[in-house]
Amino acid sequence: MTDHRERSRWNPKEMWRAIDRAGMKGVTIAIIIFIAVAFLGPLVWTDSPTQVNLEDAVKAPSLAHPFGTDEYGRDVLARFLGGAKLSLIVGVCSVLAAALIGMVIGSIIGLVGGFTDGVIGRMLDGILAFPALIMGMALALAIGPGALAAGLAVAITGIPWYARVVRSEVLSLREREFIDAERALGASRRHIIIRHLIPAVTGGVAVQASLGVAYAVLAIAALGFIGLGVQPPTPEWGAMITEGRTYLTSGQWWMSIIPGFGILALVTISILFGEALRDHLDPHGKLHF
Amino acid sequence: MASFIFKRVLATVAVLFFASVIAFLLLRISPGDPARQVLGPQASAQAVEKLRDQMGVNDPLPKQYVDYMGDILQGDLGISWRTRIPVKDELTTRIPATLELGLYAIALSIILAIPLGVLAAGSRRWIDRSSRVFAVVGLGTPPFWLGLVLILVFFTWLAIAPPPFGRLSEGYLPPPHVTGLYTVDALLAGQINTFFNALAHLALPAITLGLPLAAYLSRIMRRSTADVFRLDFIRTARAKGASERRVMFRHAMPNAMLPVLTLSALYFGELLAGSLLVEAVFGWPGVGGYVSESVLAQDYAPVQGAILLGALTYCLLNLGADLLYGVVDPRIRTSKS
Amino acid sequence: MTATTLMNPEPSSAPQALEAPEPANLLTVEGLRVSFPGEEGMVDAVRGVDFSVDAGEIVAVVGESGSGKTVSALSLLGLLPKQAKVEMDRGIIAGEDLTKARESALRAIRGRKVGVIFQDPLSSLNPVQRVGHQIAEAVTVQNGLRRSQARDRAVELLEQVGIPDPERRYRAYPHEFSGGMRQRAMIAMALVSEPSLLIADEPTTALDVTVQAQILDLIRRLQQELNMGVLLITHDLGVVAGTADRVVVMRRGEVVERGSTADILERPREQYTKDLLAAVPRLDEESHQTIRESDGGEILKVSDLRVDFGKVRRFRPEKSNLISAVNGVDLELGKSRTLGLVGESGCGKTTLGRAIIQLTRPTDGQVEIGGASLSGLSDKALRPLRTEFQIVFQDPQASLNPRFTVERILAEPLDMHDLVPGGPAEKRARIVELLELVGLGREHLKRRPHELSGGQRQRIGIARALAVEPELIVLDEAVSALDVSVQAEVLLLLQRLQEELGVAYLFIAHDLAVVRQISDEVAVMYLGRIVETGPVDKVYRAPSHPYTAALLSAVPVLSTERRRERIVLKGDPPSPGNIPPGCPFQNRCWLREKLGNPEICTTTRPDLTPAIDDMARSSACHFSGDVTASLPPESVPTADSSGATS
Repeated sequence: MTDHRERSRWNPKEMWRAIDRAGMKGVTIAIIIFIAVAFLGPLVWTDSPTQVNLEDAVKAPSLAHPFGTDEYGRDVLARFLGGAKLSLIVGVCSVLAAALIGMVIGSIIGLVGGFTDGVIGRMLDGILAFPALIMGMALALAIGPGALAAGLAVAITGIPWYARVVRSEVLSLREREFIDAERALGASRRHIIIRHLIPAVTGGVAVQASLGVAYAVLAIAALGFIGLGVQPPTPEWGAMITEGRTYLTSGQWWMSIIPGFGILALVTISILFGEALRDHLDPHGKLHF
Repeated sequence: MASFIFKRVLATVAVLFFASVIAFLLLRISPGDPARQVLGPQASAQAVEKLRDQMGVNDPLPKQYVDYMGDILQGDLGISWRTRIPVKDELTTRIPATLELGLYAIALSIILAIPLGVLAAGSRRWIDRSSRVFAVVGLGTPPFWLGLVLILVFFTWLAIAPPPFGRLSEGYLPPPHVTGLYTVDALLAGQINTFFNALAHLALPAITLGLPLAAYLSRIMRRSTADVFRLDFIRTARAKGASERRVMFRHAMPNAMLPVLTLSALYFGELLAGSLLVEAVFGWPGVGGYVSESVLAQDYAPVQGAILLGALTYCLLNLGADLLYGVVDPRIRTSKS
Repeated sequence: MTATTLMNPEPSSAPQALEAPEPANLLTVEGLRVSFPGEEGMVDAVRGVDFSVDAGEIVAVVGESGSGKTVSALSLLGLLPKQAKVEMDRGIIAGEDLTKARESALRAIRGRKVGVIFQDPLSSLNPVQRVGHQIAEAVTVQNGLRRSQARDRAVELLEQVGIPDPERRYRAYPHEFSGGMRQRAMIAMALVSEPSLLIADEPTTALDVTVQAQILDLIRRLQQELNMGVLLITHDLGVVAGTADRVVVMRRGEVVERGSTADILERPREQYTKDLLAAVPRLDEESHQTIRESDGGEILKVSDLRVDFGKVRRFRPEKSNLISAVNGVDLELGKSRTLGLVGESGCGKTTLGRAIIQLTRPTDGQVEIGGASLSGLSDKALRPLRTEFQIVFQDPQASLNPRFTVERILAEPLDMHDLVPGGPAEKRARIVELLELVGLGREHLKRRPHELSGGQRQRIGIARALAVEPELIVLDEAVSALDVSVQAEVLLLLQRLQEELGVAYLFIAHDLAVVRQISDEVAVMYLGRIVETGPVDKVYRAPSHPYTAALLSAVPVLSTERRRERIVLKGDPPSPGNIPPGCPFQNRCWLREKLGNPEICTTTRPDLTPAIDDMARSSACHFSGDVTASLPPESVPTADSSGATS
């Protein structure tokens, strides 16, 4: 039996062609490069991100230190690479957690509807009143600043967004005739959810999650910037910007400015990926996610 | 219409309740002892315990919540142990500074975003491309970092911006208080120099705060306009012989603004968070600066007060957007469900 | 084409030599080509089309979907999306040369010299503007009148197109209008500056048949009053027959045939036209069903079925908004037979179909299928019984999961009920068997719904229903969304399947001609009730309810005697939330008027009662015996007098 379609699923060449057709080649390459830099970078550039060397403090970029050194003489490139890895891991993990929980809540309230939908919906709206930065501050006070508080803040504030996307998709799917056809055939509710609803909402959730990573990276860096994020000496982009800030007015710009480009790059890539995915999944702009 | 308003208000009350519970819980589950903070490390354990009773910290959580909300409804947001100034007073003096910054940022972003979004939805590809680059970079730039870059370029290198501290340069007195917005008050008092100085101080922070908002607005404006232009009634308007300008302003824009309205209200929380960062960067004496200083000093009352205030404003704004949506769109206000 | 009746568009053109002056030419287009950018270069939608319209005539452009008929018409005025590329050798509208016209010149033509009405009047009106303002806007744009004058003119136009109470209706929003009123408002908007040419793009496709008759009447009346030329775009040859003077038949972007309406309908030359005409289900032709005696058994028995929607307010019962979509329905359907269920939109026919197979739970009443009562069974208890009855939906696109392959779609029912013992090979064999049953094959196994045509998709929907070997299939408007030639094929398939498998159909449709072709019996539904039932040929030949008669009269038929007297019902079907006491049909009833408004109609609700002379027939009218005798002559195309084949 000729079964092109199912065999092709595991064929990297075919996958690449599919990515190309979807117009996502550029952004996929960018993601691969970024991940490579974050995870393989520290293996190539082996300077320690935390080794204090006061003799080398505040040195402008040079061959030995392409991104210069900071006030404790630590290599900015090494810290930059460390920050990349940290942003990526904390950002992606917290978004995954939020997406998973949001998906469950969203599909439940979308299916059950009625009073439950109303109450849980208002609760989620209540969470929406708190931006991740504010939530992060409060959590930092409550459980102590660090990667956990930052990630938790991003995850909690993210849940309503995913729940909303999933809820509205479930609501529109519920009206679709193929779901009625399934019911007429005698499908159980569980069968409909697992076989039909969940695969149908993953696209929207993936788009939202990709934009969510962008938002998470910004929020985590902002927390670091006001001193309530990941604590020193762990390299973190937001904290690095604060640390270098005092030197900025005297023209020693690299400590603050360089990590900012890292944030900009990661956030931009996430947004572009999310938008490309959305354009591919929803070319006619019917959904507002 | 009446039942539509009633339902929206009811929903907002519910949201506010949940928001206040969240704000309350967040700061009550923290490990620090507020009584110890007030009295300092030297105070005796008995004195601390007595104060804890007075402050109600030993009460069960629901009672604490009710007491706290009761105080708030009477306008009492507590006292900052750090400055010993009532939070309410501090907020009242600082709100105009934040408001002024926010208003300029919003004005700037609307001026930038609406034409950009509408143009991008048009047929010319290069405009769409460049507006997209602007939007993605605008959304991707961390505002605190952007502030620093602007300071580096315009203050350190070019030296055309005033020093990044405060709302006025040294030697300028605040204009007589009317609205609390220095630019407005200065104009009202006829102090042109003060006006320009205040404006110069506003420029960089307002750009920093307004840029991500402009990027966001332009994107949703573009998508919304493009969506509307695909609809059949646009074709009807053209078939009537209406000019493109008429099609745009009479038919496309009112419909395209509807989603923009609600989505903008949703962004308000981000604007608050942004102002917190921007005020920290530019030493702006607003609410954001107050909150970030208080947070670092573990001074709970101001943080809680400001968070509640933010959540309240957010909820009311979204209620306003919903009601406005109902005014503009007759389908919403007459639908029974 | 019948020689391009070319004339100099200038009014001061050469005087006509012979008696009557030839009518002025309004529209001439030659060599029209339209293409759109596609995945691989430009895709031609229209390839070299010519047509013309003279003053005072109605020219119809007919074709199935994808024929390029709408694109051709809209391209003339620059109303296509901007990506479209439009070229023509020659193009003149009302004296303006289109080949040289830029956007601004086209805008000057639009609305002023050419009015346009579109298919879907709801989406074609701006939802956030009052209807009156939208018409007044057209007045302002065209005539530059001041606001109050524009308003007066708009009210006048609303009145002219037959909208009752125009002063009040001026302030309504589009969503507060019924479909027919919206289309009237669109027409008013198109007539603002009394254009010489009206382009009507499928103007009645979205409307019910009784409303369609009203709108077509209105277009004809206005066309004569204003001596307009009309370019009518339609897929419905029945609409053409009763309306147009000349016809242009299009297919795949090209003109297949053209000529006078009589020539095209009665003496078509091209095979495609002949096929198209043959595919149209005929209201005036006997049922194609082979007459079979029912083997006695009944598959479906419905008694006193009710479905209510809305909420009951416990504390303020006067504020309850309970609506009975189905209001006490009794039905019976014999094994291997077909019952056609007809009615206009909102009459509750779809709800009834869904309630029968328990997709919507009835509020009250009994449903028995194959002898088993379904009432009160839990979802779980129903599941095994669902192999007895299935449903096929209207929209084949929406009723198939777009992510699934055909194989997976058809495997679902087999897996769910464990219908195929054995391994994957047996299952696949069964799926291929199902595909072959509906005229598809193995090559379709791996396709996804979007890779299939509309007809193929509907065949998959039918195959899925057949997978569980049901005794009863509810066909809910199952052929309505299909082009007429595809529709004919699917109808034949359904008839063949019934003969082979002995399945019974509940055939829900709004198209009376289709119902006649496939049904043994027919039930006519109005406002949640059955108002008439009986053997299909008898009912069609001599309706015994005035509503049935009006429905039959409103259907445009393929014959060119165009000024046939019709019963045109006034108004729109009322909403089920607001039913008058007495007979629900009273306020639209033509018979009641004719009989001098007898009191009983407004006081006593008529029950569905068997006829005295024929127990197989029932009607819910106090004067059921008077219906056929009171019909205006020739008003019902199927009545005995019109000479239907015996």
